[in-house]
Amino acid sequence: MLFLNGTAFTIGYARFLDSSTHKREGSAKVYVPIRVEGIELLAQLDTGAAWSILPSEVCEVLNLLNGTGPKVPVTTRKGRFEGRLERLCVTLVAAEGVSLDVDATILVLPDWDDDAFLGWSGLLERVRTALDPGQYTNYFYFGPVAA
Amino acid sequence: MNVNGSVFQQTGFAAPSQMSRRDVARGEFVQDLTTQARRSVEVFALLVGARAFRGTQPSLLDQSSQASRLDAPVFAYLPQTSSQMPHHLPLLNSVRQLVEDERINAARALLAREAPTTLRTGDLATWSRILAEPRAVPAADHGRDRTAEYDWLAKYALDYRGEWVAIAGGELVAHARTLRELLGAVSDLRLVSKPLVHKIR
Repeated sequence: MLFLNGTAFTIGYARFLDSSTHKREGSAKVYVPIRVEGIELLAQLDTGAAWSILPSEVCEVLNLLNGTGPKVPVTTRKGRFEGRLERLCVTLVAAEGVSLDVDATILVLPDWDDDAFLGWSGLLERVRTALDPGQYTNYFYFGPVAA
Repeated sequence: MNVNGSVFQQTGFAAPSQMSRRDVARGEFVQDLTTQARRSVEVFALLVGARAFRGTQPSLLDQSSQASRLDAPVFAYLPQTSSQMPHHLPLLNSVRQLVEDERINAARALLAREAPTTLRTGDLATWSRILAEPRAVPAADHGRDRTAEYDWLAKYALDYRGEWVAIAGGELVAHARTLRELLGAVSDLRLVSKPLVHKIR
């Protein structure tokens, strides 16, 4: 899909969404479509986040709240939370090209009533990404890192 | 740097920033390893010392006067008999501390160095599985374009503040106060393709 110096760099892309169109908070953020166990939702790209987080309601529906992963605390802009690290397949959904399945580690927070986040550790760290912001179309390219 | 035949970004700008990030990461990684290795050795020495002491005078270890000779947090981990000594506890605690400090690569390196794959059972196996690098592979499906759904969100999202919405093909197919209710409603519709769900905040 995206070629870098003549070789394939990514395998698919999707449009990303600026949060200002659907959220009370007006600051710009990058939302991309993901799929988790059949549920397709928007997640915010956050390379500064230690872990990826799903809304607690999504975790509840997917029966992730009773997991046995190790407990860890995390500090967010909404305060300090404690949750469990769990392994899960998160799919970056392509609009064109091929979607990408990531066998990822996410942090399940029972009290997280906010958006889904894609963090660096356990997910983005092994995904090639590129952002192409435009006036009418914003593109998020992705693919697996080279072996 | 050429992307799809056209210049995407000047190589001169891209390469140094990438190198810089790697160098910084490597520096932190080495520093983490050094610090953690030292801490691990110190804690391990403490435990070994306590164990040896217990081996020669087992009855004394239960006395509070002897207990005070040990570092309290480490002493708390000591089992009732020496045969039950969990040698991996200092390692587990170090790994946990590194993860809490968000030094994930250092935690991985410590696990790899101190706990060979064949020795990973119980909590060590769990941490190894959780801290394993993510693996990305092409999916079986080709996904779908959500432009129409984004357009709907831009126009109507704020009318459904506080609710979960399900959008398909640019149309709202269901909305509810909870995700479980929403998914139930969507299931009843027997849609051909899955909608995009989102909570309007």
